[in-house]
Amino acid sequence: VLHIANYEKWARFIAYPQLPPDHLQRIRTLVQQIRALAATQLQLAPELVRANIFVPSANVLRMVHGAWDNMTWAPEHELALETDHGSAGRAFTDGTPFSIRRRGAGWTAGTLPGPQQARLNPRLQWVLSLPIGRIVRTPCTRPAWTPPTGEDGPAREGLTIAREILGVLNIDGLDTVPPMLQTPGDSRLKTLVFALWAATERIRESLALANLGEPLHDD
Amino acid sequence: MTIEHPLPADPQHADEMVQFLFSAASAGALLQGARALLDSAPKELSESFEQAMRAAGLLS
Repeated sequence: VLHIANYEKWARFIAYPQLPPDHLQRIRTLVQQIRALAATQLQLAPELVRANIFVPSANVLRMVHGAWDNMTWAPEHELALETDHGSAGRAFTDGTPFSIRRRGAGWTAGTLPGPQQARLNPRLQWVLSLPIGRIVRTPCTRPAWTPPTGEDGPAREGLTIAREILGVLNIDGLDTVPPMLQTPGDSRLKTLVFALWAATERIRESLALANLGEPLHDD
Repeated sequence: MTIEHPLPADPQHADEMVQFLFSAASAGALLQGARALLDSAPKELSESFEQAMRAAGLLS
Protein backbone atom coordinates (compact mmCIF):
# COMPACT_ATOMS: atom_id res chain seq x y z
CA VAL A 1 0.00 0.00 0.00
CA LEU A 2 2.87 2.36 0.81
CA HIS A 3 4.14 2.26 -2.75
CA ILE A 4 5.31 5.54 -4.19
CA ALA A 5 2.61 5.28 -6.85
CA ASN A 6 0.04 5.57 -4.09
CA TYR A 7 1.79 8.52 -2.48
CA GLU A 8 -1.19 10.86 -2.53
CA LYS A 9 -3.29 8.30 -0.76
CA TRP A 10 -0.93 7.17 1.98
CA ALA A 11 0.51 10.62 2.59
CA ARG A 12 -2.95 11.75 3.58
CA PHE A 13 -3.26 8.76 5.85
CA ILE A 14 0.02 9.17 7.73
CA ALA A 15 -0.59 12.89 8.11
CA TYR A 16 -3.76 12.23 10.08
CA PRO A 17 -4.93 13.94 12.28
CA GLN A 18 -3.84 16.76 10.00
CA LEU A 19 -6.76 16.69 7.64
CA PRO A 20 -6.52 17.24 3.90
CA PRO A 21 -8.03 20.53 2.71
CA ASP A 22 -11.29 19.13 1.36
CA HIS A 23 -12.25 17.39 4.57
CA LEU A 24 -10.89 20.17 6.73
CA GLN A 25 -13.02 22.76 4.95
CA ARG A 26 -16.15 20.66 5.25
CA ILE A 27 -15.54 19.89 8.91
CA ARG A 28 -14.70 23.49 9.75
CA THR A 29 -17.95 24.67 8.21
CA LEU A 30 -19.96 22.17 10.23
CA VAL A 31 -18.06 23.04 13.40
CA GLN A 32 -18.80 26.72 12.84
CA GLN A 33 -22.48 25.99 12.33
CA ILE A 34 -22.69 23.79 15.39
CA ARG A 35 -20.96 26.42 17.50
CA ALA A 36 -23.34 29.11 16.26
CA LEU A 37 -26.38 26.96 16.94
CA ALA A 38 -25.15 26.12 20.43
CA ALA A 39 -24.51 29.77 21.23
CA THR A 40 -27.98 30.77 20.07
CA GLN A 41 -29.76 28.02 21.95
CA LEU A 42 -27.74 28.51 25.13
CA GLN A 43 -28.37 32.25 24.87
CA LEU A 44 -24.70 33.11 24.95
CA ALA A 45 -22.71 35.70 23.06
CA PRO A 46 -21.05 33.87 20.14
CA GLU A 47 -17.60 35.07 21.13
CA LEU A 48 -17.93 33.20 24.42
CA VAL A 49 -18.57 29.86 22.73
CA ARG A 50 -15.89 27.77 21.04
CA ALA A 51 -15.71 24.42 19.29
CA ASN A 52 -12.99 21.93 18.50
CA ILE A 53 -12.41 18.30 17.60
CA PHE A 54 -10.18 15.78 19.33
CA VAL A 55 -9.10 12.53 17.68
CA PRO A 56 -6.94 9.69 18.94
CA SER A 57 -3.28 9.99 18.11
CA ALA A 58 -0.53 7.93 19.76
CA ASN A 59 -2.82 6.72 22.54
CA VAL A 60 -4.07 10.16 23.53
CA LEU A 61 -6.69 12.53 22.19
CA ARG A 62 -5.32 15.55 20.38
CA MET A 63 -6.98 18.53 18.81
CA VAL A 64 -7.24 18.52 15.03
CA HIS A 65 -5.55 21.75 14.06
CA GLY A 66 -7.79 23.95 11.98
CA ALA A 67 -10.93 21.91 12.62
CA TRP A 68 -12.01 24.40 15.21
CA ASP A 69 -13.81 27.68 15.65
CA ASN A 70 -12.89 30.54 17.97
CA MET A 71 -10.00 28.61 19.52
CA THR A 72 -7.65 31.53 20.05
CA TRP A 73 -5.83 30.34 23.19
CA ALA A 74 -2.78 28.74 21.58
CA PRO A 75 -1.61 26.52 24.49
CA GLU A 76 -4.83 24.56 24.19
CA HIS A 77 -3.91 23.49 20.68
CA GLU A 78 -1.35 21.10 22.16
CA LEU A 79 -3.61 19.50 24.74
CA ALA A 80 -3.17 15.76 25.06
CA LEU A 81 -6.01 14.02 26.85
CA GLU A 82 -5.95 10.48 28.13
CA THR A 83 -9.06 8.66 27.00
CA ASP A 84 -10.46 8.70 30.53
CA HIS A 85 -9.68 12.34 31.21
CA GLY A 86 -12.22 15.11 31.15
CA SER A 87 -15.56 15.05 29.45
CA ALA A 88 -13.90 14.53 26.06
CA GLY A 89 -12.16 11.40 27.27
CA ARG A 90 -15.33 10.03 28.79
CA ALA A 91 -17.35 10.78 25.69
CA PHE A 92 -14.74 9.02 23.58
CA THR A 93 -14.68 5.99 25.85
CA ASP A 94 -18.38 5.68 26.63
CA GLY A 95 -19.93 6.80 23.32
CA THR A 96 -22.38 9.15 24.97
CA PRO A 97 -22.36 12.94 25.38
CA PHE A 98 -20.90 14.40 28.57
CA SER A 99 -20.83 17.86 30.00
CA ILE A 100 -18.63 19.27 32.69
CA ARG A 101 -18.59 22.63 34.35
CA ARG A 102 -16.12 24.36 36.53
CA ARG A 103 -16.95 24.82 40.15
CA GLY A 104 -14.79 27.17 42.12
CA ALA A 105 -11.31 28.16 41.07
CA GLY A 106 -10.34 25.23 38.91
CA TRP A 107 -11.05 21.82 37.53
CA THR A 108 -10.64 18.94 39.93
CA ALA A 109 -7.61 16.68 39.75
CA GLY A 110 -9.90 13.88 38.65
CA THR A 111 -10.79 15.82 35.55
CA LEU A 112 -7.40 16.72 34.12
CA PRO A 113 -3.81 16.29 35.32
CA GLY A 114 -1.86 19.45 36.17
CA PRO A 115 0.20 19.84 32.98
CA GLN A 116 -2.90 19.68 30.84
CA GLN A 117 -4.84 22.01 33.12
CA ALA A 118 -2.05 24.54 32.68
CA ARG A 119 -2.77 24.62 28.95
CA LEU A 120 -6.45 25.45 29.37
CA ASN A 121 -7.75 28.92 28.77
CA PRO A 122 -8.24 30.21 32.33
CA ARG A 123 -11.61 31.64 31.28
CA LEU A 124 -12.96 28.20 30.35
CA GLN A 125 -16.06 27.42 32.40
CA TRP A 126 -17.85 24.52 30.77
CA VAL A 127 -17.49 21.85 28.14
CA LEU A 128 -20.02 19.75 26.23
CA SER A 129 -18.39 16.72 24.61
CA LEU A 130 -20.11 14.82 21.80
CA PRO A 131 -18.66 11.51 20.62
CA ILE A 132 -18.24 11.37 16.86
CA GLY A 133 -19.22 7.89 15.76
CA ARG A 134 -21.95 5.87 14.18
CA ILE A 135 -25.10 6.57 16.17
CA VAL A 136 -26.93 3.34 16.81
CA ARG A 137 -29.68 1.98 19.00
CA THR A 138 -28.70 -0.74 21.39
CA PRO A 139 -31.25 -3.54 21.63
CA CYS A 140 -33.69 -3.69 24.51
CA THR A 141 -32.89 -6.50 26.90
CA ARG A 142 -34.79 -8.27 29.60
CA PRO A 143 -33.12 -9.45 32.78
CA ALA A 144 -32.51 -13.19 32.98
CA TRP A 145 -34.13 -13.32 36.40
CA THR A 146 -37.91 -13.62 36.34
CA PRO A 147 -39.93 -12.46 39.34
CA PRO A 148 -41.57 -15.26 41.32
CA THR A 149 -44.97 -13.93 40.35
CA GLY A 150 -44.31 -15.26 36.91
CA GLU A 151 -44.46 -11.80 35.41
CA ASP A 152 -41.75 -10.62 33.11
CA GLY A 153 -39.22 -8.29 34.64
CA PRO A 154 -39.01 -4.74 33.37
CA ALA A 155 -37.33 -4.39 30.02
CA ARG A 156 -34.10 -2.42 30.02
CA GLU A 157 -34.62 0.27 27.48
CA GLY A 158 -32.23 0.36 24.57
CA LEU A 159 -30.01 3.38 24.36
CA THR A 160 -28.90 5.59 21.53
CA ILE A 161 -25.11 5.56 21.61
CA ALA A 162 -22.14 6.11 19.32
CA ARG A 163 -20.09 3.18 18.08
CA GLU A 164 -16.84 3.08 16.09
CA ILE A 165 -15.91 6.39 17.63
CA LEU A 166 -13.44 8.45 15.63
CA GLY A 167 -13.19 11.51 17.83
CA VAL A 168 -15.00 13.98 20.02
CA LEU A 169 -16.54 17.34 19.21
CA ASN A 170 -16.18 19.72 22.12
CA ILE A 171 -18.35 22.78 22.44
CA ASP A 172 -17.20 24.90 25.34
CA GLY A 173 -17.59 28.34 26.80
CA LEU A 174 -15.77 31.14 28.53
CA ASP A 175 -16.56 33.30 31.55
CA THR A 176 -19.99 31.97 32.43
CA VAL A 177 -21.95 28.73 32.65
CA PRO A 178 -25.26 29.04 30.78
CA PRO A 179 -28.29 28.45 33.04
CA MET A 180 -29.49 25.60 30.84
CA LEU A 181 -26.30 23.65 31.49
CA GLN A 182 -26.78 24.09 35.21
CA THR A 183 -30.06 22.21 35.03
CA PRO A 184 -29.28 18.91 33.28
CA GLY A 185 -32.90 17.82 33.56
CA ASP A 186 -34.03 20.67 31.33
CA SER A 187 -35.83 19.09 28.37
CA ARG A 188 -34.58 21.85 26.06
CA LEU A 189 -31.01 20.94 26.97
CA LYS A 190 -31.66 17.27 26.25
CA THR A 191 -33.06 18.11 22.85
CA LEU A 192 -30.22 20.49 22.08
CA VAL A 193 -27.56 17.94 23.03
CA PHE A 194 -29.24 15.30 20.89
CA ALA A 195 -29.56 17.63 17.92
CA LEU A 196 -25.95 18.79 18.12
CA TRP A 197 -24.71 15.25 18.60
CA ALA A 198 -26.57 13.80 15.63
CA ALA A 199 -25.53 16.76 13.50
CA THR A 200 -21.92 15.55 13.76
CA GLU A 201 -22.67 12.75 11.29
CA ARG A 202 -20.98 14.41 8.32
CA ILE A 203 -17.98 15.22 10.48
CA ARG A 204 -17.80 11.49 11.24
CA GLU A 205 -18.08 10.75 7.57
CA SER A 206 -15.20 13.06 6.71
CA LEU A 207 -12.99 11.75 9.51
CA ALA A 208 -13.66 8.20 8.35
CA LEU A 209 -12.77 9.03 4.76
CA ALA A 210 -9.68 11.00 5.77
CA ASN A 211 -8.60 8.11 7.96
CA LEU A 212 -8.60 5.90 4.88
CA GLY A 213 -6.96 8.52 2.70
CA GLU A 214 -10.10 8.92 0.65
CA PRO A 215 -11.09 12.31 -0.76
CA LEU A 216 -14.42 13.94 -0.10
CA HIS A 217 -17.17 12.47 -2.21
CA ASP A 218 -19.59 15.17 -3.28
CA ASP A 219 -23.22 14.35 -2.69
CA MET B 1 -37.26 10.20 27.74
CA THR B 2 -33.68 11.20 28.31
CA ILE B 3 -31.89 10.21 31.43
CA GLU B 4 -28.84 11.90 32.80
CA HIS B 5 -27.06 11.56 36.06
CA PRO B 6 -23.87 12.68 37.74
CA LEU B 7 -21.12 10.13 37.33
CA PRO B 8 -20.87 8.08 40.49
CA ALA B 9 -17.60 6.30 39.73
CA ASP B 10 -15.17 9.03 40.63
CA PRO B 11 -16.17 11.10 43.64
CA GLN B 12 -13.59 13.73 42.71
CA HIS B 13 -15.78 15.01 39.94
CA ALA B 14 -19.08 13.43 40.77
CA ASP B 15 -20.71 16.80 41.17
CA GLU B 16 -19.30 18.32 38.00
CA MET B 17 -19.73 15.90 35.13
CA VAL B 18 -23.03 14.85 33.59
CA GLN B 19 -23.57 11.96 31.23
CA PHE B 20 -26.41 12.17 28.74
CA LEU B 21 -28.15 8.89 28.08
CA PHE B 22 -30.85 8.79 25.44
CA SER B 23 -33.29 5.94 25.59
CA ALA B 24 -34.20 4.55 22.21
CA ALA B 25 -37.83 4.46 23.33
CA SER B 26 -37.96 8.25 23.38
CA ALA B 27 -36.32 8.68 20.01
CA GLY B 28 -39.53 9.88 18.38
CA ALA B 29 -39.98 12.83 20.71
CA LEU B 30 -36.31 13.69 20.55
CA LEU B 31 -36.34 13.53 16.80
CA GLN B 32 -39.29 15.87 16.61
CA GLY B 33 -37.77 18.37 19.03
CA ALA B 34 -34.37 18.27 17.38
CA ARG B 35 -35.87 18.81 13.93
CA ALA B 36 -37.75 21.85 15.17
CA LEU B 37 -34.54 23.18 16.65
CA LEU B 38 -32.66 22.64 13.40
CA ASP B 39 -35.39 24.26 11.33
CA SER B 40 -33.56 27.55 11.20
CA ALA B 41 -30.08 26.01 11.07
CA PRO B 42 -28.00 25.90 7.89
CA LYS B 43 -28.93 23.20 5.43
CA GLU B 44 -25.64 21.29 5.88
CA LEU B 45 -26.35 20.84 9.56
CA SER B 46 -29.92 19.62 9.21
CA GLU B 47 -28.86 17.29 6.39
CA SER B 48 -26.12 15.88 8.59
CA PHE B 49 -28.68 15.29 11.33
CA GLU B 50 -31.11 13.57 8.98
CA GLN B 51 -28.32 11.39 7.62
CA ALA B 52 -27.47 10.23 11.15
CA MET B 53 -31.09 9.48 11.93
CA ARG B 54 -31.51 7.46 8.76
CA ALA B 55 -28.34 5.49 9.45
CA ALA B 56 -29.49 4.80 13.01
CA GLY B 57 -32.82 3.54 11.75
CA LEU B 58 -34.66 6.26 13.62
CA LEU B 59 -36.43 7.44 10.51
CA SER B 60 -39.08 5.35 8.90
